[in-house]
Amino acid sequence: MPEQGKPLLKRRSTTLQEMRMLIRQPVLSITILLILTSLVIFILFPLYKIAKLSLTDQAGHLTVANLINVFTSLSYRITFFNSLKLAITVAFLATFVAYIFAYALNRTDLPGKKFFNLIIQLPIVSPPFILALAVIFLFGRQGLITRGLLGIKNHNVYGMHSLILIQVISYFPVAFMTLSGILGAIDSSVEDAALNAGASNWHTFRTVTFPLSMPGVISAFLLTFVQSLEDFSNPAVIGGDYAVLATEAYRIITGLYDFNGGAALALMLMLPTVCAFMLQRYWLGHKSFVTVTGKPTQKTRRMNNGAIPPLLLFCSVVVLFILLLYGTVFVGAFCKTWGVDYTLGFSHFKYVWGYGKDALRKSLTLACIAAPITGILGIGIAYLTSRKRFPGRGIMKVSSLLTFAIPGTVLGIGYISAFNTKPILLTGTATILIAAFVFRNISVAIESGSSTLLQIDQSIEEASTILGASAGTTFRRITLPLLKQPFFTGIVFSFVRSVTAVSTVVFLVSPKWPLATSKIFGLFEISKYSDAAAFVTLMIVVILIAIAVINFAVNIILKPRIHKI
Amino acid sequence: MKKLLSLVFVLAIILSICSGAFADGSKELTIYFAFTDDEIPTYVEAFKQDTGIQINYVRMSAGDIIARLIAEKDNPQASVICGGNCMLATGAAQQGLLEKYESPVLAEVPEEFHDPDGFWTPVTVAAHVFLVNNEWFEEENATVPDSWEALLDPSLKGMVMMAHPSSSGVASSMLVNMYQYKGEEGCWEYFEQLKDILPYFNKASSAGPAAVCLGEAAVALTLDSDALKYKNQGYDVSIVYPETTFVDVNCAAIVKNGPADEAENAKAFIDWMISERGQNQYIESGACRCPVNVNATAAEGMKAISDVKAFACDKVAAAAIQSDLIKEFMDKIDNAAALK
Repeated sequence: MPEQGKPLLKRRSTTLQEMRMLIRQPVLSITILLILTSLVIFILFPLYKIAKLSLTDQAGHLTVANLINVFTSLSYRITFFNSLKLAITVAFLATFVAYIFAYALNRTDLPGKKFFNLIIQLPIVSPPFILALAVIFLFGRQGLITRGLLGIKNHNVYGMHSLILIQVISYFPVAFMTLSGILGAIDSSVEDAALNAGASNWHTFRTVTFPLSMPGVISAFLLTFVQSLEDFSNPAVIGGDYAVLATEAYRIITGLYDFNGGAALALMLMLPTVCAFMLQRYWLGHKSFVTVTGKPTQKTRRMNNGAIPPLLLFCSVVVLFILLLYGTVFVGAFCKTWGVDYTLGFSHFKYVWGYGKDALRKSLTLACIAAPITGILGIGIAYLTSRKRFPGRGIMKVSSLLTFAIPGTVLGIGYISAFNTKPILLTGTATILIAAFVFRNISVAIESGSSTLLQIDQSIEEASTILGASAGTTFRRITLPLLKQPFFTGIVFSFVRSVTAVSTVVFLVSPKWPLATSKIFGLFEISKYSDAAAFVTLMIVVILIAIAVINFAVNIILKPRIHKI
Repeated sequence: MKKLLSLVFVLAIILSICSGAFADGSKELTIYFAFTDDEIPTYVEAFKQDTGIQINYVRMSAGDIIARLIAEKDNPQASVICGGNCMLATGAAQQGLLEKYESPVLAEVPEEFHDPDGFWTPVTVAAHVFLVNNEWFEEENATVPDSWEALLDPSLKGMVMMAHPSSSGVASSMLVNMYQYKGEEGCWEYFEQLKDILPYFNKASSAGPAAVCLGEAAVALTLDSDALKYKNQGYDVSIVYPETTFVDVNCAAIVKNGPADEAENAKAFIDWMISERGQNQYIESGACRCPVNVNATAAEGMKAISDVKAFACDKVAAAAIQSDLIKEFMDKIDNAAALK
């Protein structure tokens, strides 16, 4: 950050320059203004409501008793450290697995890349609690593997170990998407330089490739950390006695109707995330990761060596495990009663189609609106905060940082208390759901956008500007195509998460807008597992088709244009 | 940049349009249901057939519904809540969230189920039962528990499931019933002992019965109607009524200051729901609920409430202390566990 440490006078003159720059570019300034307004309305305002809740008692008087209670109560402290322990373990493991996949698929000649790429998309496209169910079926007391195959009696599947397993499987694909963008973009000439200078393949990886992918590693770690921290459905279904903050906050609100205590707990949940992101920004702000410079390069280098067999083995094991879990769900969808009667048939699909097609259609409609907004807004924020200097940049950075930290339930409560009365009356509408989806899922677009931008040399954009292109044209024709991967990641993530959201929508789902996940949870609650499995299978198919469409669309829109002179 | 701009604009426009689109005709009714998702369409259809009124609904757990009523207090979105435990409704009424309504059809419902304050209307009653996994008891040669005390049998250790009172309507109702049944000291003593038998308190009502169906646990506390549903799906389970059981009254009520144009429809729905026709829908929907209207028919396989030895719980007194009891539970039972 170049402006840091400059004397006050000079900083003021930069502010003046910034203002002047904005006046010269009205489109840019209107965009900034609109983004800032939406951030203030949809992030800061609900957060302010939550903070206010946590600082008042039930009669509405100002008090710090809730916060004190949260910090002094022993059981909350245990819950807090439970959450942290789980999140750190999961983030570490998920990033590790994701890195191996991203490296193997982007920088080696691993056979079967397309297949691997397809299979590891699976976990992000289904509501997570279905994985928990598959794990219970395979590894529970009556599990097909534990009991049936290995003959182990009384294997306890509930608890932290299962949570770690499921969360790693559920979240590593997102980490993979982020890392893939980074590893795919590292220019091979830097690796070649190292190799030419006599470094071994491993040495090159350790001292060149890995350090250059650091922004991605940290992003991936943080994204999985946050997701684990705020995960609500898995701890509820398979957590056993392992209590975490996200379920506690929900329990306090819907069991004791203590919104104030719940809000206080939620703020506590945001604490580690905000700290982690501050550290990340501080650390990344002092290093350069530029490898995309616009100078002539060759094709991405393929490390074609002895690393492939172990990588292949590792990837195969993980992918087989994912297939096993989803295979269980898939087979379960055709079974008469999952766990009891394994006669095959289509009856569940028929039932689910009648029961849930309306909700599925509405979920898809909302996701189709929310996803492109998320992608564009997220990339826009990433671009503006890392490339432009303007007044209000601080607010934009902070509020976009906060989107990472807000757990779903909390966002839901913030939204309902912020938008249930005038001036902004949104409850019961599609808008409140779309807004919740956008601002809840925007973090991935911002994060992968920002870390990719760290790699791109500003001189490419400067060259465009010098040649006479406006800021808008430069962004659209130069920067955006370079940001294709994070843009795609952001849209896909938002789309999938909008269709599969659970905790966010508990308080927002309205009669006119029934959602697919609530319907699945409904089936889950009355243990109609085969129906739930059929619904999920249906959903996976629909989402996979949607991802293919998004991929196609993004490729067309952001295709680099070649002009013949 | 233009694309970005236009999309942000679209967002703003959608926002302004949607905030205005509300008041509809009076042929609609908004309900928050605590019944299960698979049965509700039957009632919605039948009600529309009889009255022409279209029900728009959201299905939530009873706790979620009350939390949502509180959150929406300044601008309620629903006219009726239906299906939750009457103790929760009494609590909601005390917070000023409900509107009084005395249905003329209440004459067909036994007096013992009525709300003395007239806020809620009973729609179904449900007994607390044990859902038991047959295979486990055969394999372990254990005795199937038939009373609250038998649940404390050490041979069941780790195999009994109950949800945490703060996260389940059944569990919180069991807590207040136990408090009245055994008295203050006896109640905490009971839970002290029960805590040693349970592996932990579940975070979701459905987790216990699910575990029993799948053979992950031997016994789970649930309601008779839910238990019968699990059994009817083909799981190898039995329903055991504890020697003296607790009976929940589930109710419907009108939300205070709900959408004004739906007020008459709301009353019509409550009248319909407790009428003979409405109550017989419990069979049509396969929900196996026990009807409250004396003229209605009970589902097959269901014990009539009159055949169950039920503890006479003072619902109003129970509602008043429920919240405090749960907090006390968290202090006494939870924290003790955490300190171990």
